[in-house]
Amino acid sequence: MNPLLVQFLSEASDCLEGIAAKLMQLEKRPGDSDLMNELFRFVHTLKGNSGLFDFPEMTRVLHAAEDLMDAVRTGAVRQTKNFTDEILDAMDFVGGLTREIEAHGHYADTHRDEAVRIAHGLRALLSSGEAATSSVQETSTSPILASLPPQSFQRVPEAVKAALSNHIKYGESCFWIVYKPEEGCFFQGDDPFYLARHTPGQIWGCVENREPWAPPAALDPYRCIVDFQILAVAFKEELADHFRYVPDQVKILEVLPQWLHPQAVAHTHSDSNPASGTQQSEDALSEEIFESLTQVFRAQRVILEVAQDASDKKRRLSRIGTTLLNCAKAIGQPPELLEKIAALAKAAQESGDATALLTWMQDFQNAGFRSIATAKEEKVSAASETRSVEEAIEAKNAARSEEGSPASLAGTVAKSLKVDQVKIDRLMNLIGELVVSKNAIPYLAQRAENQFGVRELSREIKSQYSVINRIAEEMQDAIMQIRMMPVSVVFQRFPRLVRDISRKLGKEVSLVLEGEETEADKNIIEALADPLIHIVRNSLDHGLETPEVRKAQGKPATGTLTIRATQEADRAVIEITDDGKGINPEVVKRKAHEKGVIDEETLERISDEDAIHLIFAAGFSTAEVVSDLSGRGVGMDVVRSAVEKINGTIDLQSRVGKGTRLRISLPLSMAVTQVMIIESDGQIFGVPMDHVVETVRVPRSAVRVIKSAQMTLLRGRLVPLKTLNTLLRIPAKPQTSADDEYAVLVVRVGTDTLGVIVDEFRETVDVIQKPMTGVLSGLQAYSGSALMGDGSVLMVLNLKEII
Amino acid sequence: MKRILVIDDAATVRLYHRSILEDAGYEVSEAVNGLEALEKALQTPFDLYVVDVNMPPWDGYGFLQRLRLAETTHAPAIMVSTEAAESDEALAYRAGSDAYLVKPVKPKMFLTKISLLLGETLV
Repeated sequence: MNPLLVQFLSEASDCLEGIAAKLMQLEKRPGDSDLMNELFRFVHTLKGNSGLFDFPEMTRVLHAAEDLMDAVRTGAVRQTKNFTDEILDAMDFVGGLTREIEAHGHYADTHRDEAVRIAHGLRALLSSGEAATSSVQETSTSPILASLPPQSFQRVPEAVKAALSNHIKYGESCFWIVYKPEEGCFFQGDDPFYLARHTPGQIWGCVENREPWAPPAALDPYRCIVDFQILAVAFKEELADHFRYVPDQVKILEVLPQWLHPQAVAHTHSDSNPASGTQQSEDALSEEIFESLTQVFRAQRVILEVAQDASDKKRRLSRIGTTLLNCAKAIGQPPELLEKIAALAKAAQESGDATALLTWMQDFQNAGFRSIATAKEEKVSAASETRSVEEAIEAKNAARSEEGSPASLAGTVAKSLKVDQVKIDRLMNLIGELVVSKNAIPYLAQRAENQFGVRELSREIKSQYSVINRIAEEMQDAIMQIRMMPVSVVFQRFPRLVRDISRKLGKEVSLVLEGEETEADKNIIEALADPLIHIVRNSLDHGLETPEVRKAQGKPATGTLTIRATQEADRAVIEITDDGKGINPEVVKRKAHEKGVIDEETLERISDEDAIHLIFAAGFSTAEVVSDLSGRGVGMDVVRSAVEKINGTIDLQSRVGKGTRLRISLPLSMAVTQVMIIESDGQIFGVPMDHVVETVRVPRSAVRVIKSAQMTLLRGRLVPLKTLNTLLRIPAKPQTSADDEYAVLVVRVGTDTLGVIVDEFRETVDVIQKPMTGVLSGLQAYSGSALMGDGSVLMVLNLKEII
Repeated sequence: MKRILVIDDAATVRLYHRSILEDAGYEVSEAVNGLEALEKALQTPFDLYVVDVNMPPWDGYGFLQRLRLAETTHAPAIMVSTEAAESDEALAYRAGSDAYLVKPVKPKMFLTKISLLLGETLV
């Protein structure tokens, strides 16, 4: 894919996320101007970016959204719930398009109608209330219109024409309006100037007098002798509505592409697309130079006009001199001319009078910039232009001084880099290898001492090892920090999700998010997203009651759903709490029995606490009615296995009528696993430290046998015992130590605690666990393998499977 | 090789400008806002600046005004904006811009203007 497109997609996804987040915040704090500005900027950036490509549908929707947001931002249109919905819809549409582009490099050409519909929806809000735009139809089928531009169209500045061509390119309807008020219009109560100035979608306008102005003494102020020419991007119906009282004095013409490009016959949007960078022919180049020169010359006049005082004017004159010289140089003018320009500029600078320079510029321009002999006439009515520019500056300045001065110098900018994740992963793998291979050094030191008897060298190797070890650990820590992401990445989608679902279910829910800054490894965060969404959906669907039910029970009508993230030691804990109806253990038990999850015996014996955990059992759903939200296919068992897959644990507490609390505990990182090495029948195995509770030595006499099960009493608690050899089907008997004690590794699997009898404990090590692949992936007893410092392979046990 | 600083808060636009300019043989640097741009410009002045209007914490006007006060020799600047209104154009000139283009820029026009402003031979 083209790198520009890749960049666009990446930035677009950032913008879309930002827009969704800001919209949600804005709903809570309506009218917050900072939020509104940030929101506007995201949409603005996105629109600007999309304009670089040939995505007319996307740009069209974004353009409409930007206009609407601008109107809301300036207070012209009120921010309503509809506003949020419309913008969200629009952004969903844009998001869909970007995903399509991501997959195929472009999107299907079937989105046009939807884009038109969404843009209309947004524009309807823009002209909120008074003008009903329901029956607006596409204006692409233009009636019989003059294909030649009106005479005055030539007065439109190039910059406006460029913008106009963009509007047309994106299928927006642009109109040229000629408004010729009647001479006696003032007596009919018309205000032509006001009417013209308030034309919807106006992008340019000018005033022309029909006859020369009479001297002030003879002027009849009650006779209107001016015509208005207006360019507007709007619907024709809107314009007709605006001028509804003076339809006979107004002509509305659709701006046709050929007005802008007189030579081009059929002008489709693909060939004017700047990003495609089509090569143009040789003589088109001189056209470009001519146009650029005209623009630069015009700019120089304005630059001079806007000088604030004498010294500023001098500085500006010096700049203008440089620019003019450069222009002349660029088009290969003879040295004499360059000298003349320099002299004129210098004189103007010294005297402060630029008349001579301006005259020369006009002459040079009129002569078609001399050496470029493309005969072209440039009609610039300098007087009217200068006037309008001055007016505009005054208006803008007034607006700007109200907004306050630009941000102060003190504002610092956070510097950050965007790096491809593949690069980070590679770095992490390399560091992982380093961490493992450095473990070989102590073995080396031992061999140096034991095998070769060089104790001194051994000591030196060991001290060097401790240096390398420290650096390696710091590197590992640093790379982990890079991969850390705040949980807000996942949390930020909840406001929208909760809002949408609760609306659909007719429930009132207030969502509280806490600890969004809590960090965990990127993989963990990403793996967390789906289970969390499922839990939240479940809470909304089955947990929280409708406002009527809540009121009847004396609860506030609005339910509260809290998602809180905290960091506890080396684990991230996420709690999802609702104040809904809770889980009824009786109902769960009955259902579980009906579905065959538990047998009759268990049904009678099971405690309430264990009963509610049955919702995690495969194929379980307590919903009386299966709704389309939580769905039938996936239950809480999927949530549990997703959490366990990333070495997390899940715990559930619930009180009938009060609410439910789910607690997910996750490792901060899963790149490096700490394992304890144990020995059994002469082989070594690894057990993840996440499971290990403690190691104890139990005298053979303290092991009781009840029926066929072994167990022991540990600090007053009965702990079931299992022998690792038996679990792994190794025929050998477990060995006891010299004191006739068993080595018992107390582990926790899920919510159960049990003791595993092994032959001997060894040290704990950090390993990079590699999953079992190929033929070995069928070995359920092992969760993976790891390379040890001495080059041997350690098999890491999957306790859940073997117990 | 002439050095050009592209200032825009949108990474996509920066990349777009950069690729046009680099293809034409300019050396391109980037800045994401007026503040960063001014820091870079004061360290090593550039031959030309391509300036976006709207980028917090400093907009393009703020950057140009300060640049014009601080620089010793005049380096041309082109302001690039989505707004086509004359009022915006005039503001750009007042702040110290030498040319004004509406986004998205057409590569040929963009390069022609730059050559004119830099005095590079076009014909």
